[in-house]
Amino acid sequence: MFLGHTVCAGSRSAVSHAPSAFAYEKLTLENAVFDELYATAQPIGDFDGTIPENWTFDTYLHASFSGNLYGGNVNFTEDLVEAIRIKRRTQKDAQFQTIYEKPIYENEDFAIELLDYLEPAGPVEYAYVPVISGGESNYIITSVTSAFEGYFLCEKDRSFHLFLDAAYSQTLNYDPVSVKPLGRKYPVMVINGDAGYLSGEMECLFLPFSEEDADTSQSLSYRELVYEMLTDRKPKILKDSEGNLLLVSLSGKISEADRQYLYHQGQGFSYVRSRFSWTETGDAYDIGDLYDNGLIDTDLDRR
Amino acid sequence: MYAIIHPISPFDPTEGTDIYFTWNGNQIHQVRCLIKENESGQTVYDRTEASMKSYYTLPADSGLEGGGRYVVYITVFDADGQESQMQHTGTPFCCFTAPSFQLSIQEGDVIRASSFLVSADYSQEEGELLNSFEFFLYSYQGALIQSSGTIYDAENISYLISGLEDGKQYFIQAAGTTVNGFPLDTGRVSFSVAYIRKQIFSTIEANNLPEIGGIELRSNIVSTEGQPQKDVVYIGGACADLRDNSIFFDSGYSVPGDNSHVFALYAPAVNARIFSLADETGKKTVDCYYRQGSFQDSDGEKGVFELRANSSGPAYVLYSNYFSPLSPGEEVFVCITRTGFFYSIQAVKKPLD
Repeated sequence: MFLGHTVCAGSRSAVSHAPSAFAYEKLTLENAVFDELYATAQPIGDFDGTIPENWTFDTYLHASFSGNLYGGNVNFTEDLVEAIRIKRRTQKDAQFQTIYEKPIYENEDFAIELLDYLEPAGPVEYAYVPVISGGESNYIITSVTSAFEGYFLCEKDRSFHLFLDAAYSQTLNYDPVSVKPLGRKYPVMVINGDAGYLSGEMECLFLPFSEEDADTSQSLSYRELVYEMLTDRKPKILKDSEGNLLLVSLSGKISEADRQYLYHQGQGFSYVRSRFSWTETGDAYDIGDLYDNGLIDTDLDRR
Repeated sequence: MYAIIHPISPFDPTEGTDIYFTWNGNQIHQVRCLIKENESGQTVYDRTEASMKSYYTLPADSGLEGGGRYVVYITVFDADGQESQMQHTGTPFCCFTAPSFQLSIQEGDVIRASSFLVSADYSQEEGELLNSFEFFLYSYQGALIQSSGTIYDAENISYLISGLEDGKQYFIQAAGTTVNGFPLDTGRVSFSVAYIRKQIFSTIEANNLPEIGGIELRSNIVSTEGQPQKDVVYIGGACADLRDNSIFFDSGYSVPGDNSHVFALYAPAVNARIFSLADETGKKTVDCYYRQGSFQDSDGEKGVFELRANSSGPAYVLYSNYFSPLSPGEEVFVCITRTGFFYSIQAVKKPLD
């Protein structure tokens, strides 16, 4: 390095003065007929005249000039697209349903990073859908299998894992009224409305995990955090590894049964199992119910 | 006492139908069917058939017409020839020419993707409208895999089927009903799927995060489009003719750090700038020019690309390897690589695809 510049820059260089490694922000083509254009973050050593066909994480641009000037991995730009929708389809959904929508003002708005807590265990499909002139364009679809252990209580932006000494019970409530008319041997069962909802109890040891071990020093503060979440009057999603997905609300007290002080090798902590009752208060697959309970921000596909 | 006629679904008069009724009297020996036009009240059909069953088979030559609305009356005769009472009010029904309801997929088609937008075409001679439809996807063994559920958007008879696996065979079926209840069914149509498996890279990435019970979604969208100075002429629909034009990429284009750019081109203007890479201010540039001629060490007339990188005053100049001038039907691939502060430029000549 001499006076801040690199010397002896290359064997075929006419001037030994290397430039700074600035970021390219604009690329111009002119004065020729162009067949293809490609840019990658992977430096090519010995070039053999071939351009990779597949788009990878290192590809910046790949234009084939086949009747258009698109150079990205999609054939739309921010000039055309008004918004981006993320849609989800589970095994119980006949159609994709919109769970997220974002307006597009500039190119950077195409980037989406989203955490979805509201899906059941099992196969799930997601679609990235550009909205052009008010209509949805081609779906870009990906599939994933949601898998986890135990139970989760989820809100829109966070989840709580219920798996330590977890116990779960549920009852299907179906409340017919038995009417015994005069002169009739058998009663008539009258069922008013479409009642058929679940309720139950959940019991669990609430402990935070740091890396792979339970952090017993934070057990009280974590428990209080969970109680605060349970009593904030907002419905939650309760889901399990079997594939159940319920929209529930706390429907009774939170009790701490089975309090023990466990002491081992000079260390001890309070073992506390918390129990709470819940009642199903909506359809966890219904966009309208999810939106009305603040779990998603769009009810575009409300039925 | 009179026979109680069951509701009659719309049918194609050229195919006839069975008209069912309930009769609680003496054994039926004959059945009379009287049909009148709904509007005019004119009798268009009146026949008695020998039958002991509680339905009347309306034949295909009944004389009823598609698009017509009629009213039917049924009476029965017992063994003594006594005719039952005729209904005070007949049972109305409609006749329609059988609609055409066909899938966009033909038997044996090969689908080259893991998802596919299947559609159906509906038409009916008398203008009977489609009320609802449903799509079903079956495995090769006939097990139901996906169904769209009942859809009422008759303007858009389509459904996106996804999760199709490479090398497998499926059946697709569409069913529906018209506004007046005419049932529609395409039957099961078989198709197979064959595609090259997706690379690990995905435009939209979904990762299961079991420790938080969630799915992480990330887009790897790169959206950029060249902006032309004027309308671009495409040669053979595969090459952009920029001999008297230029295009630039900026929105969606940003290349920091080490990189390689490859340009495939032909007919470059001699001693002209062919492409340029610049920073956001335009003050730092890497320009490439095409030179052609006989040079001291070129052993005859050759083409060569000259790279000029300018960032802080003096230009850094580098030349590619020599190559024989391009003939018609040939193109050159130019590769510019930057590693750290250092550049390299290589040119490879190939026949034009």
